[in-house]
Amino acid sequence: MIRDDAVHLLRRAGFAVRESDVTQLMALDRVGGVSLVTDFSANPPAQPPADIADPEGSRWRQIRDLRNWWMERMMTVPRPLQEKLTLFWHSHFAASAERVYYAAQTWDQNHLFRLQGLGSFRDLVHATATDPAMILYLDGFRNKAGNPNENYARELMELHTLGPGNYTEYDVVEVAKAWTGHMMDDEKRYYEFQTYHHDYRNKTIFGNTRNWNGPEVIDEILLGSKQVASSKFIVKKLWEFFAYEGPDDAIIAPLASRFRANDLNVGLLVRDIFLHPEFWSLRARQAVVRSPIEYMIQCMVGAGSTFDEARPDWWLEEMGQDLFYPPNPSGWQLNDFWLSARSIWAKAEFARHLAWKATNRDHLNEIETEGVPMAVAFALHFFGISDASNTTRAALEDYLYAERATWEWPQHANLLTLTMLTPEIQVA
Amino acid sequence: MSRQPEFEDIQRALSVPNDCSRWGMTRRRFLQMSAAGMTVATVGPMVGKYEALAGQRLAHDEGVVVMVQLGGGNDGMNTLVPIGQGRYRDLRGNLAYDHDEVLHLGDGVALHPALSSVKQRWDMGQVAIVQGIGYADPSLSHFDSIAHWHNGRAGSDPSEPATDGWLGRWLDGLGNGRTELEAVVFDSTIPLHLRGRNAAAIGLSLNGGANFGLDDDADDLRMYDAYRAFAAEAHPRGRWADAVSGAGMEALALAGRLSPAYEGPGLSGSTFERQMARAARLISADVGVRVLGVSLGGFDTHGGQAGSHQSRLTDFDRGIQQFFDNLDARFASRVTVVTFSEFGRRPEINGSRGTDHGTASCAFVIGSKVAGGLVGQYPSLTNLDSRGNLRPEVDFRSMYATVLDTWLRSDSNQVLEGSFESLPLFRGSPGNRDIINPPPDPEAHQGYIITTDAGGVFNFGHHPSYGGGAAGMVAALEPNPAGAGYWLCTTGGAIEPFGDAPYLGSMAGTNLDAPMVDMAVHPDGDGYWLLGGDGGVFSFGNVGFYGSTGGLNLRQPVVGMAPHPNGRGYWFVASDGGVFSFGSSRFHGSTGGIRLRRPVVGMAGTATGRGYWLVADDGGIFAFGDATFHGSTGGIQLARPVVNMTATPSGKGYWLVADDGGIFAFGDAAFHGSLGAQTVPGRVIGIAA
Repeated sequence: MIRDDAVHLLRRAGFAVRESDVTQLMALDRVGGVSLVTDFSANPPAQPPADIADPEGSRWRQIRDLRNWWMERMMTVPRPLQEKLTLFWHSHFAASAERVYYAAQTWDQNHLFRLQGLGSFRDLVHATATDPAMILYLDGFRNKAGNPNENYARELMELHTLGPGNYTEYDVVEVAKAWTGHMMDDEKRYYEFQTYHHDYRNKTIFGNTRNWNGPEVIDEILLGSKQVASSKFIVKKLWEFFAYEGPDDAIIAPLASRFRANDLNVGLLVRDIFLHPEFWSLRARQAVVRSPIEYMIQCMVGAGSTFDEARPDWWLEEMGQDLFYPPNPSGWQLNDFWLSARSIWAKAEFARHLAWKATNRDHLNEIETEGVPMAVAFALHFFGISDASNTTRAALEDYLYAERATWEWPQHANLLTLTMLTPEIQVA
Repeated sequence: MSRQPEFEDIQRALSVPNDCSRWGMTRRRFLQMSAAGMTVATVGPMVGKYEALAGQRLAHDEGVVVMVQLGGGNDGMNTLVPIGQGRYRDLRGNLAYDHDEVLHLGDGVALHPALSSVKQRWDMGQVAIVQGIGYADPSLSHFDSIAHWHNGRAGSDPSEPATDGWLGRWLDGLGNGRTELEAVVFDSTIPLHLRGRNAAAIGLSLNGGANFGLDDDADDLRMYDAYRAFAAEAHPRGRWADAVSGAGMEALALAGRLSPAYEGPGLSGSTFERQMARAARLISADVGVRVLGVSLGGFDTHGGQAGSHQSRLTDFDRGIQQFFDNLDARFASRVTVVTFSEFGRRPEINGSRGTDHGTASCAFVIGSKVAGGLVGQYPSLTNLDSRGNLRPEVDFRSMYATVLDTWLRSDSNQVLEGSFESLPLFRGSPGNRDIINPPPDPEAHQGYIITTDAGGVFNFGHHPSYGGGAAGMVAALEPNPAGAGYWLCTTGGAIEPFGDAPYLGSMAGTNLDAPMVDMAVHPDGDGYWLLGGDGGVFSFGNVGFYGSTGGLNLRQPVVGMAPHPNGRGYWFVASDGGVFSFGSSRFHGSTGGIRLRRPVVGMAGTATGRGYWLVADDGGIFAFGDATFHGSTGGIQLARPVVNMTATPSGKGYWLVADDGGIFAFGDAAFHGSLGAQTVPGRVIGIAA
């Protein structure tokens, strides 16, 4: 494939563009390239910080260490799609660490997404329904016969599987009853089905009256009467995450149909998305705003910086993507969600910080010894920008001409800062 | 060993990161790739900073609310102590305060001893205390109850999950006219009460503004130019790249708007004190902030309450002090501080020398326009509910409704989705306008007013006063020629309007080359000029700029100014008697060439625009053009120097005023009294009729 295609695939299937990966992909065709990025066998097994399982540990510190470990893994793992999907599911099945009792519950959920993120969507929904982090986050532990809590029932349909408009308020009430008793042990450590708290009476769900139990509702949604709506819902969400916002139904419906035929296998769906002609279309290029983590990883890779040197975790919360603390049950949104003033200020601070950290690298030598157009081309190249607009290029060149004309010590680190603030590096 | 979420966890769970609401709709307005945007990108480095500063001022009658959350459930009974009820001691045991420990307010209630600065404001009549505030069928869960307070929706049930808050819905109602800064918290997460369906408060840094956009090294300015240039043209690079560059340019401008709030001496004290001080500075920076959310936690006093509650209330009290210490006096009549907490505490002490979750508590409403006093009834300590808690007397949404209707001039029915009674919390609406409503008096203006540099305004004859006071030393007083009111101008360039004089802008917060010495007003009252001692002229409202001597090196400072009666020009005079004319104003002579015995201190124009008088500090009068000499004190020995003059409406007379408030009337000007032996703070600097 050509360079632009390789860069496009790397941005979407991972976090950053590295020259070595570009070279590797350019030797392959699209099918070969997609096979490469979806093969996780090259990834080392995930070894979280050792004390994550310590029930006596400081939860805040444990989660912080886990977060930093995860970011570093996102940045360094050879096939980052695994971690990008983990991030996708973390937002899709949002469950803030604020509500867990033990840090290990957050880790267990995170690792579930890592191990099963490319597997069956049905398995994933079932697993999250009985996952302690989710039960604690969406009040499943309070959901008792006679006093049902609708929180999980509502989000299961609205956010996890169907989207608004595909169920009624009455369904929410009845689905909540079906999930009564799916609770936790008294210590809030494990999932436990407490028959005493389950409502065994008949419920009417999607117009069908019988003695429903929670997991049967998931199968009814994914495999039964709601299978078309639910498959299109998740296919569209993954399409918007990997390709572009607002796809036509003509793209989603056939993908959803294959997804159902493939037993809701997410790995095959992601492959289908990557191999779809629309994924390679002009409309899909530079069509997604990078989330702060993607943005910072691209900056660090471009500046040749390590996690410990750059400390991107200092900026995560400012930029609005506090990992393990999603803002609400709907997780983080896409694109314009990331364009707040505060987030932009944080990017500017981060870019400046990183540029000065990188002043001892060869980058600057190359920039300083070149004429202006070539120096700007180098700077763009470092950060994986192969498709800069003329406006951006001219802005950078004008800056460098003016800077060099001062006859003071030219601050070429500022050129790196500015390159990290171009619109191009902020989109994928 | 189950672990309950801590209070801070609850707060976070009720919060979302900055700028997003539940459905991910951001409140960003994308900068249109308009001609205006391109101008900013190409004009120069300073434009973004100052142009943006000018655009977002608070209107003179717009109110500001600071919502202070006392997190954890503040003990109303040891905040507003029912010292007159014998049952108090029985219930509270050794947590009870003695009669001689508390700050008595009368009516059988008293403030906790830590609340000394609140008490000071109470004595000034600036504190209303809502007693027994809460709601029916109260929840004793922190999470549910604070969400219920944040939600503030009529008919809602505390156990229902709330997805937006009352001030957030107020923000929603502002529609497209919103800026980024109507609602602010100093945190990265936005509490529920400041989140609407679409809009939300913005979270700002407590300690430093964003440096980005504010550095002024030539090198940094070049960087900002380049950054703006990314947005100079929409390009075929996808809509998101254009949106990113547009939002970036807007963020850069926003940083400039905020910079004044982060200048000045560093903040001191606890986090809460610093938040309150920063809140005051942000309001004083005049960038259009209407609502601020500040929070102080640690009120969940289940055990060992005496010490911890004391320290929390001390922190609160100091924060209130810091707030008003840091608030620019121009905003004093436009700002109200309101406190709330998710619940009060159980009247009866528990086994750990603390108190458990209760119901009704008290709320403070503090500000210069607040109707000081107690509101509502203190809940009975004998008629408790089935859980041994107080029965609420006032629904908290009545307080919200009053704040919304009176102070934010909104519609509480819409925001709260129901109707609540109004509480007597305010003496009037925000701003100075309604302190005195002058009756239409045929004899009005038959008299004069004088002002001191301390901002005191004194009226004589039938001239009404609308109050005084200003942030800083007053340099000039000018009446509104088109109505009933006047402006005070300070040496720092701040403008304080009174009566129906409109606020049209000021130089406050900017770096002046020279202090302001005078002002002049357009005859329509809809614009004015401020005059600096170096002859710099700054125009505001519906007036033109006709020139200045700001760039010249004057031999003597400029001291006074007079407008042309057609509003299209002005004169000013230097202390050596040199006159400078601009616009329609013509030069009719000056004393610039003669060596004066005493310096000139002021001037007044005639009604025709074809002449003027100059006055020296010994009361000597110099008349030019069609101005007529009606007498002077030039020949007599004055006790105190003359400082200014004003002409009668007919132009057939004038008054001179000395710095002790002595008045000298000539021609058809009548004497209506003077300060005489009366001692007032500061020295008199101006007179108007």
